[in-house]
Amino acid sequence: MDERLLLEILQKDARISEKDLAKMLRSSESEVKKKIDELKKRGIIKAFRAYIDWEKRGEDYITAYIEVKVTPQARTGFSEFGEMLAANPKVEEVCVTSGEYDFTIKITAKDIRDVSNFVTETLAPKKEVTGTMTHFVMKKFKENGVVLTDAAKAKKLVISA
Amino acid sequence: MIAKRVRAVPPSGIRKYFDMASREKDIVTLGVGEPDFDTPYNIKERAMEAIELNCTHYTSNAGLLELRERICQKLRVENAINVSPDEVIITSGSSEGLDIALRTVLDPGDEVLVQDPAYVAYGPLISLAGGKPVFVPTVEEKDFRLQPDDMRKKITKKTKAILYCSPNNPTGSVLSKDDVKGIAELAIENDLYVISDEIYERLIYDGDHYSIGSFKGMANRTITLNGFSKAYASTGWRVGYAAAKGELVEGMYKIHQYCMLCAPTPSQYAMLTAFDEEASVRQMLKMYNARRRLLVKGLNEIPGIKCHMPKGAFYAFPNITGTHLSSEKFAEKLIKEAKVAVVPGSVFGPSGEGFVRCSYSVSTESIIEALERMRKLFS
Repeated sequence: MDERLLLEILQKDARISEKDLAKMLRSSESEVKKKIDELKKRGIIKAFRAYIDWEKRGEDYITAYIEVKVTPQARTGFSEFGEMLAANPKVEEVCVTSGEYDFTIKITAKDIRDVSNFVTETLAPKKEVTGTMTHFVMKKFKENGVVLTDAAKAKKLVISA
Repeated sequence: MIAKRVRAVPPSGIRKYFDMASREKDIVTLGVGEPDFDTPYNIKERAMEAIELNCTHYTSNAGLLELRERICQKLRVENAINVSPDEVIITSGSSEGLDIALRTVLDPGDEVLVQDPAYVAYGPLISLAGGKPVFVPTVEEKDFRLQPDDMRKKITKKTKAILYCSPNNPTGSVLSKDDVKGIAELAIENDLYVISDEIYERLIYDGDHYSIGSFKGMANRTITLNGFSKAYASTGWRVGYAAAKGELVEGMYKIHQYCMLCAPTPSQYAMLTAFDEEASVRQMLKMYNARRRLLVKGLNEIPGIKCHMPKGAFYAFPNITGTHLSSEKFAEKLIKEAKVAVVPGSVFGPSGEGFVRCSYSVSTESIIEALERMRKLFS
């Protein structure tokens, strides 16, 4: 079975049935199921989740990218701080990045006050944090590989020779 | 009154279904003849750069020399066809190449052997060039492969050329090496030109592609047509090419310089990067192959439908005679009652009756949805 192709198909549409996957990959349903379980176990498939536009549903929230300057700790370096941030449900992404700041994190919160609280009460008091820079997201065009604007869809013919 | 030869050309059979599908909402389409993938980004970027640098004027009539050199290299390495840049014309899509090839070769009344079913433009373009299409039926039992023995029966004193396309639209058939060898022998025996439409060349899942122009004794009687539309998901850029020797290429060049001047300049620059897009092509090919199996196996699960496994292009050509509907009635019913668009096989020629063309160059999601709707309609 072409593992790479299986992953490409699932990345586009995780809900595709094992029966259809078996046809596409010239395999059997049970083989596909086994392969997917294996990929989960190996930690290659991390999650199967719906990608939701909450804003479209009328739910207000705010996204911010926060750059954080951190003093590396003895023995653990950045990892302890990174893992602590990752455990916070408000935090969507945590990366160590190059440049003036050490971490870039992405958080989703209720409103500006919620973000402020996170920065002033969660981040700032940490002894290793020496500075932050917060960027509020004003408009999103693409997220997680999904284009969010409708305008990008080119009109194609329905029937052509 | 407009010209008789134009009036004599029937309107495209596809139009009716296009209009029918356009009236319906929520159509899932298997009716398209182009890739659903986006043009690889590097190709687009090269075009933007060309526009910014004012590469927006005519090129030489034959097209950018650098692009013709890349094409020559490709033809030599991949197709075993040896031509110089002077023997290549960059055309506005391979459609233009087809038109100027026919106009170069045909005198009034000359006959052209064409496989049936075939791309809808072949017959009309032959007629407009003053020739007469003579259709050679191909059958499901032989995977719709054009057979030299069937062609031989249709040869008359007026036969001037053979026109075929492998992999084929709409059947997805791919000619074997022996098939091509047989056609080459037939052409030499009867002193015929061959116009080889190789636009789907890169889209083969089982087997290999053989360019007839590379066969012994064929170089001086073959016009090889190809382009970037299908392999590089670039149908709207309008860049194709024609390769031929001697008076064939000189004739085509004459028509091209008067009717087209040159292919779109930014598009020509864009395609300079196409040859570096091997990885994108291979990735698309893998996905088409997976979708091909999904569609063909799914079609075979629907009562009344029987589908052979096509070897190339991106079309399945299922036999629908088990539904007791004609191709046209089947397509009409499908659009109106299941909101699925397919193209009746009969628009591609009389041998297409009893079949419909279903494209798998659409998203996996569309294929699954279309199959589900068809299952509901026929179960």
